[in-house]
Amino acid sequence: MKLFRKTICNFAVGALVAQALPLAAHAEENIMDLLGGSDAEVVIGQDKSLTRELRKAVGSLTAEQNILFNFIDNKEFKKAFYQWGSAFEGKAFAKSPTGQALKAYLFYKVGLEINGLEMLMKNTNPSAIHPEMVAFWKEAAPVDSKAWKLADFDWNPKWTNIFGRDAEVQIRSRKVFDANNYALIEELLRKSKEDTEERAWLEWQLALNFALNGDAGKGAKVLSLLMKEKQNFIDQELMTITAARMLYEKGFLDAAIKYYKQVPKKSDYWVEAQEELAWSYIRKGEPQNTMAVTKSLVHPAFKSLIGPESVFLRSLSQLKVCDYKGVAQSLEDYKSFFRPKAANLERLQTDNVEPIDFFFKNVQEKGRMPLKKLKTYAAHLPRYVTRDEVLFRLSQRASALEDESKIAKDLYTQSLQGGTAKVGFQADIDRVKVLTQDKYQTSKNAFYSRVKRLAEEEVNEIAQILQKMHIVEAELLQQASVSQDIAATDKKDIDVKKGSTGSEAKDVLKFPGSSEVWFDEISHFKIDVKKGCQVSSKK
Amino acid sequence: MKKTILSLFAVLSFGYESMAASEILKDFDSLGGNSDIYDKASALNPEIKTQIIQNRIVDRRMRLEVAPSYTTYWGGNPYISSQSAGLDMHFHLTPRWSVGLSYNFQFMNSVTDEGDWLIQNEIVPDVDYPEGSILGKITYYPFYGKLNLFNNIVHFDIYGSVGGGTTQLRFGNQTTMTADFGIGIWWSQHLTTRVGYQFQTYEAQLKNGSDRLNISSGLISVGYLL
Repeated sequence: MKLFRKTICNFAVGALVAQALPLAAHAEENIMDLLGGSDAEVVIGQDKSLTRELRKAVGSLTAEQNILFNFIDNKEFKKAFYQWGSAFEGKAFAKSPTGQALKAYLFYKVGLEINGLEMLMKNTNPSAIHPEMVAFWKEAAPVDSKAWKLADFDWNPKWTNIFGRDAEVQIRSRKVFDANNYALIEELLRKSKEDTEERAWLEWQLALNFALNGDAGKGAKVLSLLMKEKQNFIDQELMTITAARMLYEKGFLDAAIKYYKQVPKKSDYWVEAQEELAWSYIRKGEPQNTMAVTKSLVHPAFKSLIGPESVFLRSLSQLKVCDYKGVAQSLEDYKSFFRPKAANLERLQTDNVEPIDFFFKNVQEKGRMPLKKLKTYAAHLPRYVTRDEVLFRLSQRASALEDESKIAKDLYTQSLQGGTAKVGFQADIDRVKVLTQDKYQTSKNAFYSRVKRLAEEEVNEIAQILQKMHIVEAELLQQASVSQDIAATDKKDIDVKKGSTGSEAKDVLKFPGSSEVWFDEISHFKIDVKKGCQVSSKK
Repeated sequence: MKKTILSLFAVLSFGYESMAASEILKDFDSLGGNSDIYDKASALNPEIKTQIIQNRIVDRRMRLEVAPSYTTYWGGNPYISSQSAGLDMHFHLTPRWSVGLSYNFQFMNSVTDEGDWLIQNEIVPDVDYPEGSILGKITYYPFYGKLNLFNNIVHFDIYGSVGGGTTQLRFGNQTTMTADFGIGIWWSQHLTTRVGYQFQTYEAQLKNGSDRLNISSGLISVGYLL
């Protein structure tokens, strides 16, 4: 009975407010007093910018619709959310752009922000949305809010007039993972604001675009600008190693070496920087330095962190100085390092998802994760997982969607007491719960698929280098078989290749290298090679 | 031999992309393991010298080390045993060289067993005991090394010093020469420890005339690098 009376009251207030707005304020108050109206209902009368225009857009309001608008005016969004089904389900307004935007708005306001925003963006005709509704959205979801950063949808240019260029750049730039798309990068760069994450990301993509298309000079210019900017969106060490790569590509090997050395040991890029440093040395014709650098990389502690090229490169440098025992050791190292890794990564793609579970859970909870935090799981995961931007974004999105899924679940369980007109659990709320759960699951699946794809790529890389190692072995066998001849015909002058690696500080400490390597010695090796590929002086 | 090479190239003729997953693992098994053949290449045996060239953890250029110290003495006058507390200052010019100043205060001069025996026999021992000293030193650090203490690497230097100054004795000040050697451990950018042996020589004034005393001492200090 009480429920019925309240409904009648709300209906009456809604109808009066909608139809008799020009009434004098004191007359309204009298009516409210007469009807026993609540504060909320007074708000409706006073606030001319809230749902008044929306109510007009709907036209003749039912009691349930009035109740919904009253809840919105009163900022009781959860109640309004529950009321949606009773008020608009199956009605023409619900299918209209404004109706869709209103529904999405209620999603957003009850905490289903990503779902709400993505629902809004499905609207193909945003210009038909009622201006008041647009104003609601602009106030609720500024472009720097979390939902904009995590929502995933294709940008409809019509939305630019509503949410502006910042929103457009934010959404579109996030999808730029193909540095070859110069036109898109340039377009978005022109639209982007300075000192924003999007601007830094696009400048980074532009630098890569130039570098990938053979214009390392322009790429270096863009990169140097980016490095000077006070931004922390693009990892400083990633920019340093990229600068080194550009210099390497152009053949400025000494400069490249300087940049590679600037990547600190604690960086996740250190292993890669060392590997590429070793490439620079071998390209310079200094295999002894390549041997010194790769000696650090084949330390057992780095077994699951290094790429297969490191060992290949080491064997190549050893081959160049006729260190056949060393080459044989490298062949063994390759087998012992990468056979288990390949097997692990294959299992990851089929039946062992525990490492991905661990990684997913940690990156969701703690954000970006340094390589060392993977602990023993590092041996079971692709080595680039901690730095993969796509994976990071997928994890962040999945994390937020999981939260929204929990909110939807709570909304569902509370719907019994939360809904006003219906009794029992509501089917439309149940659909929301399923929808949010599905979205979370899709996002999580995408994360898992991405890890598996990276694993597949790494297995292919290991297989590819394995073929090269077979070539090294064949070369070793070939050289070994003719080594006596080489020795017999070689010149008398003793060839000495002095290494130039190790610390360049003023006050260095020198220790003899031994089979036992202390961790502080990593990356401080210097190797001198005497009589490489020459006959022994005793013979 | 030819067969081996041919078989290897036969393996290479398969594209890696077409290789099934389990085939990769099998292919690993065929890598290496030809040690007999490698041994044939023994005529070519390059001399490979590996060194570790690394930074000093603690910078010791133009830095002042202030170190409270404790010294215990033996030798010299047989009737007394001394202990002193002091304050050492070492100014590190480079990691190899430092100059320093050391002040010591003898807070305990106790009678040895020999001295005690004399006193019990009512003979007053002839002693010109030290009360303190001020010494200047120059130190050279020729050797270095490192310790692995619970996976923390600590560098140390073996040092040797020579110097001179004054020892305040009961019957006046005496010129003193000193030489010492020890080990300096640099725990961190600021914390240091030295453990060393020190030799001092000076003339004590006794009733029967002066007596040159050659005194040994053991020193420990815990310092702070500014």
